[in-house]
Amino acid sequence: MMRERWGSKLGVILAVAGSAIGLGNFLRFPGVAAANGGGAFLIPYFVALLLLGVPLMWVEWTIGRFGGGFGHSTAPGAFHTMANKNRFVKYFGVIGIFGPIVIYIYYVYIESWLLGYSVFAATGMYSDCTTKEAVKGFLDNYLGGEGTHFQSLWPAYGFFLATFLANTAVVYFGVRAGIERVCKIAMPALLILAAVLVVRVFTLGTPDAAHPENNVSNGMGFLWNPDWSALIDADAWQRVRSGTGGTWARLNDCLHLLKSDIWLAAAGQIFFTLSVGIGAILTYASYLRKEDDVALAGLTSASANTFAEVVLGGSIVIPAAFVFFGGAATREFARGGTFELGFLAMPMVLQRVAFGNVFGFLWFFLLFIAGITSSISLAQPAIAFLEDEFNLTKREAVAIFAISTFILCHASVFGGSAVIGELDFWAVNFCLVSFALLEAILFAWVFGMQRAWTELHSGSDITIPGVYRFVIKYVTPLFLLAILGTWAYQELGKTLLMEGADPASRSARILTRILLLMLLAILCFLVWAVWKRRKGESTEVAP
Amino acid sequence: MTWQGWIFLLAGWSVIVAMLSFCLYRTLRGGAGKPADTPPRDA
Repeated sequence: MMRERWGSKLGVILAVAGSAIGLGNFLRFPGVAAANGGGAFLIPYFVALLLLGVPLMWVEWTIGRFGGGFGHSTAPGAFHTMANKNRFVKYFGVIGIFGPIVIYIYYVYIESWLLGYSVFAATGMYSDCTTKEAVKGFLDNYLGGEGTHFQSLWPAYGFFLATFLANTAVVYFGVRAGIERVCKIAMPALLILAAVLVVRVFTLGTPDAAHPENNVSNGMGFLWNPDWSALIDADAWQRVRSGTGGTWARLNDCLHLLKSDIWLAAAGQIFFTLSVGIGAILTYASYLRKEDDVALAGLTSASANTFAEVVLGGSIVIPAAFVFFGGAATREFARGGTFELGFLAMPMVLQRVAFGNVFGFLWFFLLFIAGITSSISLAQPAIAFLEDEFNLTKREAVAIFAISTFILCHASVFGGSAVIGELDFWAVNFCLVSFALLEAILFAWVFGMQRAWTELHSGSDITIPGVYRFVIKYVTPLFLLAILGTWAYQELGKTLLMEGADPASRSARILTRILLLMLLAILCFLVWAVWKRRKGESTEVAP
Repeated sequence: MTWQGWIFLLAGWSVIVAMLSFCLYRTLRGGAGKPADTPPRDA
């Protein structure tokens, strides 16, 4: 079977950037930055980008292209080949298919809310909701199907069906005619929509004459004014400056100078936003040729994502909310996280500006585009796995994937926030970081840094500074180990025992965990079956 | 916004825009003479 390829270099970069640019850029980043020191957050953010994000981009692009050269578009095959056909390594690669499927199961449903809200904004359906409680009631009504605006779940289900079909149609047309073509249109459209919204926010001025301090400049200041206390422990700093205590005490103070929370928040944001550690970029890169560049392409997609996040994403939600509601209310919205900023704050803001219906539509449609370019990348690993390892046609693979995920998505549609929260926790907190750690170790330690460096530079359009040999081999894995260790220490026990969770949601959470374990077991079985069938056969052909 | 806020905003934006500009320039023009929107070398 003829292997699919990208049509152009720009196409693959836009596809990877599309995978990375999602809700995290426009909703998660402003909230996390505002809650973690504002401008001071940028220091750990850029450090994490350079020591974690960009190296992992290069690692994942290189593993993907290497695996693709042997006809493997997904992690089990790519890992197996890189680890000299070690019999166990391919099972670790299962996370690179499992994680994207799990995220896909709830992400498509959330994406459908955005499609629905873009229609509601254009038609003014929530225009009578002027308070935070009323806007929240509208969202609950939409998702619950009982209330004044919606009397059934059919509207939510209809938008879910439309979104699911749109995703399926894109992946059905394949890498070049589907994903690449959509991203070539969607990504410039996304940037234009975001730019229009940024200009609108910057021209809001001071809408409330009684509160002249609620202006755009102070709104940007809310996000960018550095709060050094979030970054540096003031007590330790005082002790270091005074120079009191013995050598050991001073060393201890120096070690405690930087607060760990902000660094973990920055590392988490870099992970979430760049789509590294999911397996999607690996699959996208597998459709490159051996001679195609990965070093510059990886850096370009990371840069495009950072631009969309810091420059565009940081200039819409927070300053807009600040202008209309002031600092205290904006802080509350930011603490509420992604959903409060996107689905509560922005509808309220956009109702207060001229042509609010138009800008409301633009806002939610922007997020919908950002969502769909990400979700198609989540679908591709499973489809590619079925195509490559089972020799299925594109039509067969897409049909199996669509039917399976359509059934699984109903857990999110009808299971509510407990199921979505459970899926999100295991996919994002556990799968992403552990898969990235596996990739980094495999790349630098199993495959070997010398071979890895040569492979990374094969066909490269730029030369990566030599210091990154050290960073990829030591710093990135240690950084990942620190994140995983801290997460396990702080969250794993509490989450496993469901501490603090609503008792009514316990059964839904347990069923979700059983579902996840079953899915993981099925994928492991499929990998076992494929390699068992191949045993004794010489099916892998070097490129 | 305080002067420190302006410094962080301008510095952050400058670094990002410079990084993206460099990457796009090399991708579109400088990539080993490989035009960006045409099929790869061995296509």
